[in-house]
Amino acid sequence: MTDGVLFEEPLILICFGIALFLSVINKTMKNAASAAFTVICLSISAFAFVWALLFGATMQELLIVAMIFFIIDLLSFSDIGKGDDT
Amino acid sequence: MNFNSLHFLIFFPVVLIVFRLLPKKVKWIWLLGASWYFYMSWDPWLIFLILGTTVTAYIAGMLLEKTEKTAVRRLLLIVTLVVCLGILVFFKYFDFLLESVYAIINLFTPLSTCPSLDLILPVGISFYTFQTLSYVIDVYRGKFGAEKHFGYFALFVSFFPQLVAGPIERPGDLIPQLRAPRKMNADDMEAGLRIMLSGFFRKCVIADSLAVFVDSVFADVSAANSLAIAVAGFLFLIQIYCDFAGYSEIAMGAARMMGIDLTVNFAQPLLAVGFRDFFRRWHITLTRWFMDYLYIPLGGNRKGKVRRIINTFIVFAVCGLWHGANWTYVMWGLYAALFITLELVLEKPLCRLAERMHIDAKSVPVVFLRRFVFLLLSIPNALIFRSVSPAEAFECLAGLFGNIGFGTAYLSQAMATLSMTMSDLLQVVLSIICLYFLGKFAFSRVNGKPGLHSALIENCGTDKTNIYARISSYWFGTVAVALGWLVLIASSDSSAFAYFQF
Repeated sequence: MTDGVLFEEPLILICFGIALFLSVINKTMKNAASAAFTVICLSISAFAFVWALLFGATMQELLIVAMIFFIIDLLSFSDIGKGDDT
Repeated sequence: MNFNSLHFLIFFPVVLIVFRLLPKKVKWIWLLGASWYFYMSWDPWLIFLILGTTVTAYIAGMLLEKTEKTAVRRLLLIVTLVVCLGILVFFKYFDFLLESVYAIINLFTPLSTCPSLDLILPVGISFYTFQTLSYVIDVYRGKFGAEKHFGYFALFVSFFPQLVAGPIERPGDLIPQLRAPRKMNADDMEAGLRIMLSGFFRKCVIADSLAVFVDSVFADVSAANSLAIAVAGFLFLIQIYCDFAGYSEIAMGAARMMGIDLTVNFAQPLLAVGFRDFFRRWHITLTRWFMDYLYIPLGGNRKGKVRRIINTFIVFAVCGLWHGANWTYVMWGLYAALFITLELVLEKPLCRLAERMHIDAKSVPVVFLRRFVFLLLSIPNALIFRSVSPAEAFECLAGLFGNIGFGTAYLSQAMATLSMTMSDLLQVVLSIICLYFLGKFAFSRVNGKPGLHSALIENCGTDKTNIYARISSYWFGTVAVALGWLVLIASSDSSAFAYFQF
C-alpha cells in the first residue's frame, strides 16, 4: 500500500478524505443527512476513483478504498433490529 | 452462464423487462423458455436430462394422485426414485463407484487400470433432482396435490435463478408463486437489487479474492507450515460460504424482482455456536431436505439415543456424498456427525456444570467463546472439504498439527506460502468486517414490508435507514463489486461458483 498511487498523489487522498468525512457526517448526524451531502460525497468519490485510475492506481488499492466506504455505509444498517429479539 | 458473467448481465434485464410487459397468463411460457435457455447455455444436450427428470416426475405425480392402492403407489414412488436417482448416480457417481470397487478388488487381486467413462457432470443435477424428488415424495405423502399443468411443473423444476445451485425449493412453496407471481413493485425491485448486490459482493469481492490464498497453499501443502494451513482452512470456510451464499442471494434477489420469494439458504453460519447450530444456518434447504426425507424416515430421534446417533452418521455421510463423488466429502460429513454426536452426548452434563458454576450459557463472553471454539474445530473439516483426495486431506491434517512454530520468521514463511502481502491482509480484514454486516444489509425489511424469512437472520428487522444511506451503500457496493470483478478478469482466473460442481 505504501507504494500505491494513493500515497504518491496526496490530492487524490485528500479527495477521498473529504468524501469519507461527508459520508461519516451523513451517517452520524442524521439531521444533517441530505440529498446535497450525498450527491457531493458520491461525486467527489467518483471523481477521485477516476482520477486514481488515470494515475495508474491498482484495482486492489481502489477496491480497499471502496470497501472502507462500503463499511461506513453498512454501519448504518447495524442498528436494524436491535431489541427485536428475532 | 454464470451469474457473474456478462452474458447474465444482459440476459437477466431482458428476461425481467419482457416478464413485466407480458400478460399474467403467458408469463410462465416466457420464464420456462428463459430457464431452458439459461440451462442450455452450458451445454444444449443437458436439456434432455432435465426434460427426462421432469417428464418422469410429472407422470409419477399424476399417477400417484389417481391411484389409491397403497402397493401401487409405493411401487410408483420406488420406480420414480430409481429413475431420478439413477440418472444422478450414473452421471455423478458411476466413475467414482467403479474406481472404489476396483480399489477394493486390487487389495486382493492386482487388476489392470480402472476403466473410466469420463462423464461430464451435468450442472446442477443434484439440486434439481432433489427438488423433483421432494415433489414426488410430497405427492405420495399427500402433502401436496399433483400439479396438472405441465408448464408450471416444468418451470418448478427448471426455474432459472435457483436451477443450478439452489435453494432447493419445496413444491408447496414455489409452485403457487409460479402460478401467480406478485405484481412487480418498487419495494420488491429495491429489495431484490439489494440482495443481488450483497450476493455479488460475497462472490466477486470476498470469495474470489480469498480463493487465491487458499489455492496458493493447496498448490503445495507439503511446503506449508501449520499456521499457513490453519489460515487457509479458515479462509476456505469463508470462501465457500461467500461463494455459495452469494449464489443463493443472487438467485433470491433475481426471483424477488420477479415477485417470487425463494427460501433463505444461509443464516450467518459462521456465527454458529456449535455444529448443530451450524447446520441450522448452513445450506438450510438441503439440511431440511435430508431431515424430512431421510433422517425422519430412518426413525429420527424417536427410537432412542443409539439409533439417533446412527441415523445422524448415515444422514451426514449421505449429505457428504451428495456434495461430490469423492471420499473427502464422506469424511467431511462423518467429521460433522462426530461433533454433532459429541454435542448431543455432552449437552446435559455441560449444562449441569454451567449451572453449578453459575455460568450463563447465553452471556456474551460464553457465546463468543463457543463461536471461537466452533470456528477452530471447523478448520480441519474445511481442509478435508477442500482436499481433492483423502491422501491430501490427511497430509493437510498432518501439516496442521505437525509443523507448529513461533516468531517472525515463521509468520513470514506462512505469509509467503499464502502469497499474501500486507495490502492483501488489509483486504481480507475489511472483507471479514463487511461480511459481518452484509446479512442485515441484504435481508432487512424495506419500507416496513417483511423480507421473506428475514427472521432467520439474527436481529434483522425493519430498515429505518434513510434513503441517502441506502443510495450511498448501493453506489459503493456496486463500485466494490465492479472492482473485484475487474481484479478477477485481470488475473484471468476461473470464477465459476464452487457449488456448481455439486
